[in-house]
Amino acid sequence: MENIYRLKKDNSEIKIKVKVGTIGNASTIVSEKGAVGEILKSRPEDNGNINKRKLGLSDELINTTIIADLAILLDGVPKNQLDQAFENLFVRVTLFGGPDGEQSFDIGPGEKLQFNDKKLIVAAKEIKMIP
Amino acid sequence: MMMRHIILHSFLGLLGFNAFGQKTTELADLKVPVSPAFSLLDFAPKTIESPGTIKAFTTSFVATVAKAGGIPKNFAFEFSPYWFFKHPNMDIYKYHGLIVDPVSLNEVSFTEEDNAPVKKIFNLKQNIFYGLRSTNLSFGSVFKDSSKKLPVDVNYIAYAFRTNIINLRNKNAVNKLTESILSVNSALQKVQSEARKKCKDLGGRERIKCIGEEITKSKDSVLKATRKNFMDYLMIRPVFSADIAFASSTAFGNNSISNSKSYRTGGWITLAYNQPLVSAKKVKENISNLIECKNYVNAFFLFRILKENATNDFKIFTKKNMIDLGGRIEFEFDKFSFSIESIKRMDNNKKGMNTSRTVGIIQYKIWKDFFLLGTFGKDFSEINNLVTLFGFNWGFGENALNTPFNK
Repeated sequence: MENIYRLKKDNSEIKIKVKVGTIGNASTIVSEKGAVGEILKSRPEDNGNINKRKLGLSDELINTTIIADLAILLDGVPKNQLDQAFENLFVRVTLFGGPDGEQSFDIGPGEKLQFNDKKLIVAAKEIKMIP
Repeated sequence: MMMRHIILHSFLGLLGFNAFGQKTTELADLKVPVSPAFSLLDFAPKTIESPGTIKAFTTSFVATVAKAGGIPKNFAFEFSPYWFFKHPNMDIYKYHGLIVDPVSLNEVSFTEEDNAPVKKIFNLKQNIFYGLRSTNLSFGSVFKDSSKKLPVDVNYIAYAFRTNIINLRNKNAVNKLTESILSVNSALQKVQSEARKKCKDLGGRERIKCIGEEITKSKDSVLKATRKNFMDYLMIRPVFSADIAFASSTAFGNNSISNSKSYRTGGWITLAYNQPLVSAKKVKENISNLIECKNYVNAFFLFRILKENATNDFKIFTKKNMIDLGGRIEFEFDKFSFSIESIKRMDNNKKGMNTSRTVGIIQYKIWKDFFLLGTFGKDFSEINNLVTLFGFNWGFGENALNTPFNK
């Protein structure tokens, strides 16, 4: 599925939710591609999850690319489970408020990589916001 | 030069003692085996396939069967089925046996859709059964041709499971573990945020690679310290744990399904209790007192059952049933430990043949996974039953000192 979310040309609120299923320490940052600032980030106690929150106004988000960046540390996970943790990582970004309503985008195999002897997973979900 | 000879001869001498000792019952034989299917067949495979996904498992298994052109020979598989699948609701708390206390959440009001920071009381409880998720299945085969013990070719296939059913941890350790998860998450996010800024203009895999490399090379002292704390709390020895395993095997004469016979069946239960020699008050005051505690009194309980259809010709079979029941109490002072172990062995076929093993064990940890071991006492059987075992014992991995029945 293409990572595109259609928006209305009005000032309606667009919301986002990020659901992360992992056995590691996780952090999620949502930002606009190319921007220094962050729009949203997960709270430490939510371990990468972001509850349904306001992302921005529809007409301000048109023609931007929203990225949910994830970093996951797998300290304390046995070596023989590191690949399983990578394979089974579940990340679902859900957008609300566009003309097509609620739409979910799952992280695919090409959107995550392992680092630091497989103890670190970095993943990113990019979604183009089009009119 | 002379000194080197003395050391070498002493070392070889000790190994000699150890090798002699191996003719008797090994301590390792009595604990819940790491891979029960392979232990049951007295077989140590050179390579064990550990597929991480259902796809990898199916591919490996089909390839093994196809290569054999029938009942496969000499293979070893080991895996945890639970981790074959994605678990969208899985998180680090559940994985480490922590569950959100619903009472504490009821005390808090927060708006799910509010963008403002929400203060959430974080009170967690233990899920002592969390080890069940990592239940491990193993199966393997050993092919022995007719030149070996039996006059026919026999392919032995074994299948087993092993699991940790209870793992109870110190309450203070659990609270600290929870706090450390939050601290690591905060520190990780700070480092991730810096990395993201450096890679902000990139997209796709280039971006992921850039962020991953930036986090990997980060020298952030807070992240480093919080990760260390998390591991320290995680490695605190459980107060109580229970492990079970069951394994069974079938022998196929001439590798034929029609000529099969149940071979060995075994079951193991191990209970372990670890009491640190530090007061609860001191632990409550400062958890470091528990982390740094090197002195323990450990108690272990063992139950093992083993059944076998013994044969010399694959025609006439004799049933052998054996039950081991016993325990061990161990005093551990940093690198040094001594313990007394007593096991009662009951032979169901020959009531008069019940026997027991009672030994004292002294162990000194020379360095990580390398121990000097001494055992003295009475082994099973009524004749030739003196145990005098002295030598080195070394292993690989994260073997805990002085917990032979531990997983």
